[in-house]
Amino acid sequence: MFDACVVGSGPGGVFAAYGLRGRRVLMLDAGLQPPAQPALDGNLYDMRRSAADLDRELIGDDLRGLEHIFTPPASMKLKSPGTAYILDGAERLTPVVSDSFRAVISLAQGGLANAWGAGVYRFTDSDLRGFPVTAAELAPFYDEVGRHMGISGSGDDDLRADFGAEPQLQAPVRLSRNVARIHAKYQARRARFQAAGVRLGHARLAVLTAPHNGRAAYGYRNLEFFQAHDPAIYSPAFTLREMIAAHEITYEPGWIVTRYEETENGVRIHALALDGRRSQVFEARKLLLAAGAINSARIALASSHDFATRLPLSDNPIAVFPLIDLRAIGSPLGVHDAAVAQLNVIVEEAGRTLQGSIYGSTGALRSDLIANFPLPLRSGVAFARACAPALTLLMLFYPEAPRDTNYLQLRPDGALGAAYQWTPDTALERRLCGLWRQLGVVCLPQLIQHPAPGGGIHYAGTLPMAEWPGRYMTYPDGRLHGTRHVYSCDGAVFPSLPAKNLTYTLMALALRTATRLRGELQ
Amino acid sequence: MTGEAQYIHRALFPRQTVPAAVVARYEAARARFFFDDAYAHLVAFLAEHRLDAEAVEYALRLRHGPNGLTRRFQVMLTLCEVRSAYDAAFVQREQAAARAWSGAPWMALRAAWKLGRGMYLMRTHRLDRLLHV
Repeated sequence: MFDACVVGSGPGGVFAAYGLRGRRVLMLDAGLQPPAQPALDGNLYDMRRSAADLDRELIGDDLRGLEHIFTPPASMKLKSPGTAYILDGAERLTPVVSDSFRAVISLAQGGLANAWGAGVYRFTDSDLRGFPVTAAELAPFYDEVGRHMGISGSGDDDLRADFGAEPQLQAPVRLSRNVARIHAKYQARRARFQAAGVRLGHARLAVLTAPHNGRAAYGYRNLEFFQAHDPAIYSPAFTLREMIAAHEITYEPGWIVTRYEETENGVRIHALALDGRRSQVFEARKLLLAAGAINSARIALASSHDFATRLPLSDNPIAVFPLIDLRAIGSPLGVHDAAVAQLNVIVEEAGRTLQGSIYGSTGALRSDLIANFPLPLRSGVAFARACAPALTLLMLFYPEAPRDTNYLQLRPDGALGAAYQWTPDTALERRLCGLWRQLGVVCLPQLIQHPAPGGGIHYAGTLPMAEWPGRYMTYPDGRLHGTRHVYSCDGAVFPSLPAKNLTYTLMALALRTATRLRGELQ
Repeated sequence: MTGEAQYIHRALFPRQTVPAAVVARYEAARARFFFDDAYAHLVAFLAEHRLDAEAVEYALRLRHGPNGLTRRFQVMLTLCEVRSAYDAAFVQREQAAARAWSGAPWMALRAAWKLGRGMYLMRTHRLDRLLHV
């Protein structure tokens, strides 16, 4: 019998296992790997000019890179032959049925964090309102996770209080010309923006700008849309491989955990092979669920054969603001600019806090956008070429709290049903457009995009933690109510969802849960 | 089938000859994604009569949103964009602000012309009857 079994290799699972090193740890994981394909080595735009074609690399022998034309992708980062594997098998093996919510689930080793934005923000006590844990209690775990991953950003700009102090912060990612102009305009009008509740600063990212732990610094290669595992952009798969190589865990890929049952001394974990033909039971003294907020909820409901209960579900709704710098139209594209977020924005409004990230427009293929312009396609090609250098994108995340309209429910066929409602705050977005214009860019409310519910891919709150939890809730130490040996170690435990990306906090919470368990398992 | 690839390509890049590799990839994509779709008859008719596919696509897209003809163009655009021969069409490498701004009125006029032409072709050739949608 293992001391602990961790389910899933996403950010929560990996830091749960990391905290349990030294004990007999089993990790059960679907564990899909990137496909074997020609490696991209160099800058995308340099290669696009020097190589005769990048057909196999960007589209794939099997034309995988064209599928998004017929089935809209969950994210433009998940459509190329080198990244589409991240979602492989999920619809078949862990289905979610809904007319109002698009669930994005990964069975890949490292989970959805293989294609994340890499934003890492400490939650403040204000963010943790409703959590039975304080920022001070989480601080040592943030420190350890941050030290391990490596974090870049600015420690002394206007977002310091919002994001917390990192003990070892690398220099921020270099700003592109357009984004540097936005930053300079903000600095010149800082008091006016702050009076309006808006603060702006360098992006805080799990992206290395200097070598760290054997990983290279960010190379501004613009390959994020086409291949996973850039060594500079942290993936939980990196830590997992280190632990496997050091024989610190027993890793069993190829399994989908379906349910558990508690015994006198531990837990029996039922798993199904990916081919659906074999099943196996594993035993451990403790079970740590880290299959993601949706699949951990599925396991909990299936273990109780419960097809009636509706579990709460939260995701950060998004508004995408295109910001156009007219002076940059027709100028050369910054082919060595960053494709990761360059600036972060905080918006405080009516007692709530929204957070955004500002991106350049390099990396993605223009063909993906051209049919969206109200132009004939040949004109669209010319328009995209001339306007891309002038475009930056602000992705603004709204906070979310549990609501009766947003839930998951297990169906007898094993699929999860989901329902979700959300309405954008158009009055706020119009007001923000006016503010963004003061940054020297054109921002039109008509051009704001709202991905459908589920598009935030920040799922949380299905097994929320509370000081005095009820059924399908967790105690402050992560233990699931009504169980003795089952713990939740992913976004499921969030009782509410601040606008900040939850990943850093769920890593810290998972490490905290595992560190406590490690002591118990001596 | 080769004719369709050449026809779609010519509508987008009239001054370039379509590479054989692009034709082969378009054929593979057609077999995989478009086989016997609702727009197959329309595309065959447009290609046979050498009608302005870009104008018809634009008129259809403005009326119904992206459609089977749009998707054929998107496939061709993607297949071309990943080739160095088309880099200049997609990536602004040199300073060309004056050209971009001076080209804006022309772009607006061209859009109006293409829309009118597309609607005219739809009506005179009764292209709606070819769409099984």
